[in-house]
Amino acid sequence: VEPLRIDTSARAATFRAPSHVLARFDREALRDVAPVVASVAPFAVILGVTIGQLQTVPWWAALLGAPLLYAGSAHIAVLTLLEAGAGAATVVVAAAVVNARLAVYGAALEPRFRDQPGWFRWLAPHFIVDQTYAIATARPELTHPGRFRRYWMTAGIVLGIGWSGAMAAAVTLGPIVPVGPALTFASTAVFVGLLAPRLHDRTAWRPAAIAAVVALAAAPLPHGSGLLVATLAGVLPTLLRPRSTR
Amino acid sequence: VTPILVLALVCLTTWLLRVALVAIVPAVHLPTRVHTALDDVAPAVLAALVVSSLAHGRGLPALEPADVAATLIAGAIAWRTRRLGLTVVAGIAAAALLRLVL
Repeated sequence: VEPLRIDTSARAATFRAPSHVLARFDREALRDVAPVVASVAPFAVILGVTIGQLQTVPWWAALLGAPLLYAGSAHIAVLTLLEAGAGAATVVVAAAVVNARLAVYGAALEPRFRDQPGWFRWLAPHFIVDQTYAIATARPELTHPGRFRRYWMTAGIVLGIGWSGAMAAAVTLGPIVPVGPALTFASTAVFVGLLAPRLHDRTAWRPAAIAAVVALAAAPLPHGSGLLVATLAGVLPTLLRPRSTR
Repeated sequence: VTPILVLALVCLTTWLLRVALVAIVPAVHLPTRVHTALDDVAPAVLAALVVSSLAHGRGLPALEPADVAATLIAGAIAWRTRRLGLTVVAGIAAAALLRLVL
């Protein structure tokens, strides 16, 4: 943080407001979330182009899902199902299956939300998604409630703006947007980048290996439910026989 | 109006799932063994996400050798450096190059 300098020139006065706004953002969160925003942008663009071609759902309603649903895989599953004429119950249940893992992330993050004000405990979990969960749990030092609040809100809002902005741009520009084939690898690279450092902890190997094998076998299951099955399979051994050395 | 209502219901359901174990029934009230198992969720779900992003909803036959090799390279970089940005850039570059070769 720069030391406060007293400058009475008009120019300094002009720039004081934005720098004050920027100062409210958490630097570590910005550093963690920047590569995440870049990596989800191609996915947002694909969703945006899809939204531009929808027949049954108004584009503005589908686009509102970017900030309000805040979950890409469920978003695309829901739009695909609605477009195919699926019933309301089918769509809601499918979305719940795809997003069931968010409840598990919530449980894992709960200690960070415990000593927080009510608005934060009820509204801030809205930003729980694979990437924010992963970057936040990679920073165990964020135990101070105020510090975590700043980190979490910065990461959640910046990711939301980037995600919604890229999607809105793609809806507007439509199929003109080039989606480079190599960019489809971006999401894989992010998940690998979040996973590999965790494998320095040897207890992480078993759940990762089991989940990887099951995910491959369960990949053809509908609406991403294979992800849920694989995660449960990876966690099951510890659930049945808890580690004693913890 | 109906698709809009369904979308709203999906948003509501998703929010309920997110706050379920944070604000409605805080996870601290869950049994200890469930707590221990929560440590395994991150590696399990990330490994599953890596594999399912490579499997394209079809499983083993859908795996591209170039992408699998790029995944291993990205994994090695992430293991050594622990830097997400570097891993993503190097991973995409590796995937692009390997797709030309493999």
